[in-house]
Amino acid sequence: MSVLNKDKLRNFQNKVQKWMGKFQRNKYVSAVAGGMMSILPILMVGSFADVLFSLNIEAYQNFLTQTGIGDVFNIISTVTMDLLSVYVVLALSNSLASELKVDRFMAMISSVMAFFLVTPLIIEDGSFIGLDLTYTGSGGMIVAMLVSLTATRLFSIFYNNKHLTIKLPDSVPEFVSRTFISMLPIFLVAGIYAVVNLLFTFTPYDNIHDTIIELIQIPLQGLGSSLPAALILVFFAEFLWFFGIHGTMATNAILFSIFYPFDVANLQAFSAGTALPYIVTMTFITNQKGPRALAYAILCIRCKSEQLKTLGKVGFIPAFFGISEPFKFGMPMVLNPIVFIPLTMGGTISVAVTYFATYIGLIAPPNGIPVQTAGTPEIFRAFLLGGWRMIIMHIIQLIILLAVWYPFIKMMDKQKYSEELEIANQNS
Amino acid sequence: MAYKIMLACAGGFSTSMLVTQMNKAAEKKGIEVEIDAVSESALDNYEDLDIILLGPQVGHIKDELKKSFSIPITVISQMDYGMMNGEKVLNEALELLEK
Repeated sequence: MSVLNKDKLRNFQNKVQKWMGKFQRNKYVSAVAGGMMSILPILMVGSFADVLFSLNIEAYQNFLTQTGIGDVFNIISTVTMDLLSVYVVLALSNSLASELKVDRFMAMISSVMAFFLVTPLIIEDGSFIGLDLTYTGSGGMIVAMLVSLTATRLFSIFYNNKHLTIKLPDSVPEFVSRTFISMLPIFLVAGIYAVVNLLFTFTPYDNIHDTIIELIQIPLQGLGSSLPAALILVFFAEFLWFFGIHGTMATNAILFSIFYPFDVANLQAFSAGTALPYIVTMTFITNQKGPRALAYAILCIRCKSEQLKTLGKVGFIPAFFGISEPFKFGMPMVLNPIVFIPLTMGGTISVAVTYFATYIGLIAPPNGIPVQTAGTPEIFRAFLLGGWRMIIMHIIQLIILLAVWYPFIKMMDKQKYSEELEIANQNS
Repeated sequence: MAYKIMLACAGGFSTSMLVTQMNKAAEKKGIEVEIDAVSESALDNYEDLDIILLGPQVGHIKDELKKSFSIPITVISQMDYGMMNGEKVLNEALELLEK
């Protein structure tokens, strides 16, 4: 393709990689992406408990009630899902503290303290009787993220300030001096968040949680849960792949902080037996791009070019597990103008079609189980996402992807095949 | 002493496939090496590695990694990665190590 100047393209690639590197290695961005990833096990436990609790079979439900096993599932669900924001605080604070290289444990406890300082408690006759689970589940996640990041940052500023730390003589055991070093910083963090909490009582919303929900979360959810936002994200992730950057990983921070709470909300609705509120969630965006790698493998195996045929064979089994890297680099798709259109449009079209299928009720919205894209075999993954209907949906996605990619791979095959013939002729 | 080679990509999935190929190549040649794959975010947990090979999709983190590791860090070539050419990747890693 002589239309595009290869050097210019490479130059631009370097720039994009640099920007992405800067964005992704930003301490706060990587703390959010990495921290949220680390609460997946909690979410897994919670979603299994929820699913087991709400399986709609009468005999089974009777069994749960009679044996009391149902209550056990309910408790597991409460301490995982209804306290999810607490885990978010711990996880984010831990990962940011390790980025900032301060005492992680002390940073974590001061963040949890800060979170509870700004979270309304249930108080009757002046005495504390419990946590208000409205603010500690999926509803409190944005505040949890904000508080843990700011509290950890503040803690690290105070912690690294020589005037604010109490130094004990060297003869004092380390764990004792460590506690004393964190004493004043934690006092200051406590003071700041107590004041923040007080300030919010003067607002019409009374506390930071309701303020954030009214002013940020609801508008953001309106925007976030809409189709265009999802399509732009999918397009952007694939666009980054064109420059050789792992697109989904780059958009992880956005996916986790905006779209992940929708998964949790859906899961809670699912276990409560009410209508699922969101179609576009993180699981939806990452999973409904369709079985792309499988489509590449099928098309490549049928190619005349030796390179593409070999690639198809090498990449077939990984493709079944949702891994597309062999094709991204082996075809290659990176910086290959021929595949720009199908690369950026394939997943986007697949997400759009699946959205409409969900919208008109052919398939159910995501139930919130965090299904991992890479490493879960195709058919099983579809089943987890939505039973046999989803398996059919994924077959439709595969057909769409095959159709979108066919002409372009054909074009590339022709080109490569004639190149290979030429080389063979020269050698003979 | 056997070299410790660590591969890293986004989730450690596709690199682990390459590790299998590299191990096959090493066995064929009778070279003793320890090759492993992890997600790039887990790299910090490892010490006394001899070389880090990055999947091309996470190549942009190389400069940042260089701040915390003082061993050779290199990005695997796209074509070798795509075709899962374990032998070539292994050879290049060994070449860098023996420099």
